[in-house]
Amino acid sequence: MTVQGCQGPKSVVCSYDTATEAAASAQTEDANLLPEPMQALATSTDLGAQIAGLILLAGHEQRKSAKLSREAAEAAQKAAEERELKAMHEQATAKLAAGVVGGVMEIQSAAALGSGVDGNRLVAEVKSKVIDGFAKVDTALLNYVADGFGEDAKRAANGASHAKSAIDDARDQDKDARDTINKALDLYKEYLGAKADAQRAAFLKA
Amino acid sequence: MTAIAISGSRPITASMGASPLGVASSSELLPAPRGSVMGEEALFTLMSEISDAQTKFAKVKVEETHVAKKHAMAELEKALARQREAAKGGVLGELGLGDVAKVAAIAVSVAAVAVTGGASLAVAGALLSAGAFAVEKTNCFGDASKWVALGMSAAGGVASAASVAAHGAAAAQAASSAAQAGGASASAAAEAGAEAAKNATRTFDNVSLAVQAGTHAMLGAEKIEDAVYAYQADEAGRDAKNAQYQIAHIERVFDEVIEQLKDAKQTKQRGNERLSEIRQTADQTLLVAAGGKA
Repeated sequence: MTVQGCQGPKSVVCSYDTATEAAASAQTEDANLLPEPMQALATSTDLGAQIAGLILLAGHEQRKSAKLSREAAEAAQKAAEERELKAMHEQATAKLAAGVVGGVMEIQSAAALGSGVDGNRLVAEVKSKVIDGFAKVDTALLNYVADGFGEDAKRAANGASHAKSAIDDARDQDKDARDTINKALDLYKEYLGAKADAQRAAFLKA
Repeated sequence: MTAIAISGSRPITASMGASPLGVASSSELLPAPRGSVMGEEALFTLMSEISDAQTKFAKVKVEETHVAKKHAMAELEKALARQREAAKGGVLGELGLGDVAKVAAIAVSVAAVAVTGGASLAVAGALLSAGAFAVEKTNCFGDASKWVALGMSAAGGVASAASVAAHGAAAAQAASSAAQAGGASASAAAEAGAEAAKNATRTFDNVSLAVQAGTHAMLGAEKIEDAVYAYQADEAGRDAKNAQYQIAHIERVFDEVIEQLKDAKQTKQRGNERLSEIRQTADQTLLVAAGGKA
């Protein structure tokens, strides 16, 4: 692209090219009906306008990136929270199963023990102990499964916490980008004011 | 307006000099005439309208999030109340009157064994009563649990009563036999005494076994009851956590909406400032132009 009215070191020309390319690509990406102030500035022949435009474009890109990061982190957080709640449900169910199995087997053990009344007490006690043993094994297994789900829930909660930190970071990034944009606008305004004053003074002198 | 070029820069015209940001107008050597800045005025008016629309949208969103938050808070309170209720229910000390009656039924059944020496029926009674207790607590038959428990409880009572009656009759028969054999020898009396002592030991064993069985059954029923209450408490805790997450999300959306509201306000303010600058510049231009002609 031809550089008009841009006299200066090579870096300025390069930055101008980059700005115009960025502006052109932005234009092709999303064509708005309203004018694009940032592109207008970035493609301007005025050095101050170019710098302001570049900063604005950078800020805009930073905001876009922050938004994408935030959306991704939010989705991750939601998924982690759902995983955690599901694991909590599974854990509660496994604990219930352990309790019910333990209770039912204890009643069975009681029945076995009761059969020893007016019967063979030793056999009844052995039966009862065997049932108690099985009950303990079953309960331990189910509690182990429940603990596994508890661990899953903790891991998911940690994931959700990390995702929340990422969301906060993205929000900070967005805030920084907004500050950058605001500063660029303020600086550009000051620059224009100073430039206009200088031009007026030059004109009046002439 | 005539274009004036200054030190090689672009010509200053209303259409080129004025940036859509509205700040370039102050950089012009001469303010642009009013007629030419109408486009920019329209642009900033449009921006202001967009900001207003954004503000309205944000306000609606704020109200929506407020309602959603209220709903989530209510859900949280409900879940916490359920959790408290479930935590209370699992405590052994908080047995109701019905529970006490059932425990008493078991105790009576066991006592019947001790008094009468008859075991099988009494133990069956004890187990039935314990079963009834478990059925009612776990609600394992749904709505029918109450009736199943009642039936089992009644059957337990009948079994205990039958046990008492059966052993009462046996005792009466034994007394009658002893009266008939009034003139029996001393050795026979000694044998009878030894037999009675043996019976007493067996009865004691039976009683202790029945008590053990009853305790086991009670503990089993209590374990199931505790498990059910713990499950309810866990589920209520999960619901509470879900509600907390929802509240956190709603608060985040609320913060974002507030940020948008601030942005919209700032944009509008900036647009209004530029608009006023443009108008001021246009008025100055007219004055300058009038002065030049004069």
